[in-house]
Amino acid sequence: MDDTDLAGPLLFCLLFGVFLAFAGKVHFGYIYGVAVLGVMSLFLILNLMSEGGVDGYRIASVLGYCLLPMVVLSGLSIIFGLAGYIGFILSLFSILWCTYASSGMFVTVLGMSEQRFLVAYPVGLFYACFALMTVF
Amino acid sequence: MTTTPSPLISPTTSSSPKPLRPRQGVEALAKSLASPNQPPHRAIQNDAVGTRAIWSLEYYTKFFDVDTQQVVDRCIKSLYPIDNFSEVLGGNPDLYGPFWISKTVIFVLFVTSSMAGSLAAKMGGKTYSYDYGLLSYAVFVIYLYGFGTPLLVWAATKYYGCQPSLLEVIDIYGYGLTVWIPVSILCVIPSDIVRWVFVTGGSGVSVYFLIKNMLAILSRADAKTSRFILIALGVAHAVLSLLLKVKFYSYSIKEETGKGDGQ
Repeated sequence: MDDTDLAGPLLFCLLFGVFLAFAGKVHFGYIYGVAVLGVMSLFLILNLMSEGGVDGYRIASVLGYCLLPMVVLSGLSIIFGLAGYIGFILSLFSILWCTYASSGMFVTVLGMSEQRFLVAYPVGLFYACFALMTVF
Repeated sequence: MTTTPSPLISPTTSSSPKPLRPRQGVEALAKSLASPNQPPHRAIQNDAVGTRAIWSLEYYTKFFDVDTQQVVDRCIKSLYPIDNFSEVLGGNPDLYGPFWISKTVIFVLFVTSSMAGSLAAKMGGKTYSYDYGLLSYAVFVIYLYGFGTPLLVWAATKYYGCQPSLLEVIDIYGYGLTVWIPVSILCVIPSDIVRWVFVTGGSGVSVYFLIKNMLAILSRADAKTSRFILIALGVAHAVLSLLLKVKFYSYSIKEETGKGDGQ
């Protein structure tokens, strides 16, 4: 988390949108809106709860890179539809994977080891929005 | 270990330097040697942090100084209200709990209510469409009850001289909303009597938790006022429980008409 690289996250968001478009859902506006709102609210939460502060670019960078499992999920949704139990399980698994990775990074760098679940809950909601976009 | 700054070694904030008495000088030297990492003026600056501006983010960090175990502990203690909640808070009331619990309750209310509705429609052989008005209703009711009522209660008790702490009252109400999460999940069961049982049970636990912890604050007013406020609290809680039951947990299988939703 030392460098605030935004190229990767932007590429992942674009890829996510393109895969969704291939699957028949054009949600670029929703992706942008959810991403901005999520970064803003996570900025608030992390700055309120951690000892030191963190700036918005780092948060965007971590959240964007950890979006990768969600991109894979949207890629899978092109090949076979995600309705039904298997889609539900896959999306749940992707949300958990994204949340585990990003909350781990936030907690390690900000030294909030006892508050991992408290950080993971909002981050999980953020990724759940993306999963909802993919499935419905 | 904290060091209190000696009045002598405060270069930037003291207006006039005080003459150094020998004993004071030795004490100051001993303190500055004991904690070499903290320059003396830092302690004064740390004292000044307590009066940060209310519009800066740092002012609110002290309300979020909880870890996972504490939040989970507080939630469980609100569901099983044996201990005194002020002791559970331990002088460290937080805003994280009430904020996220009310959000979760709204979400769970909407989702379980929709699930119950679609279940009832399926069993009645009709189609079901999501009623997003329920979500707005849930947001309005839960935020009003979770944050508006504590504000009113705090203002009233402050007027009658009970010296309440706003954050503690918000915490009592906020953590008291936790009970509605399991009640909502259980109320998917499509039997009206079972739902009434669960709602009454949950409401009873919640109102017991509320009154038990508000008694400590209210006992500082005189008896008649505190009884009146207590009755008002109980009535408000009963109104909330009835509203939730009627609006969210009332799906039943209707064969006569085409209505599969709402009351």
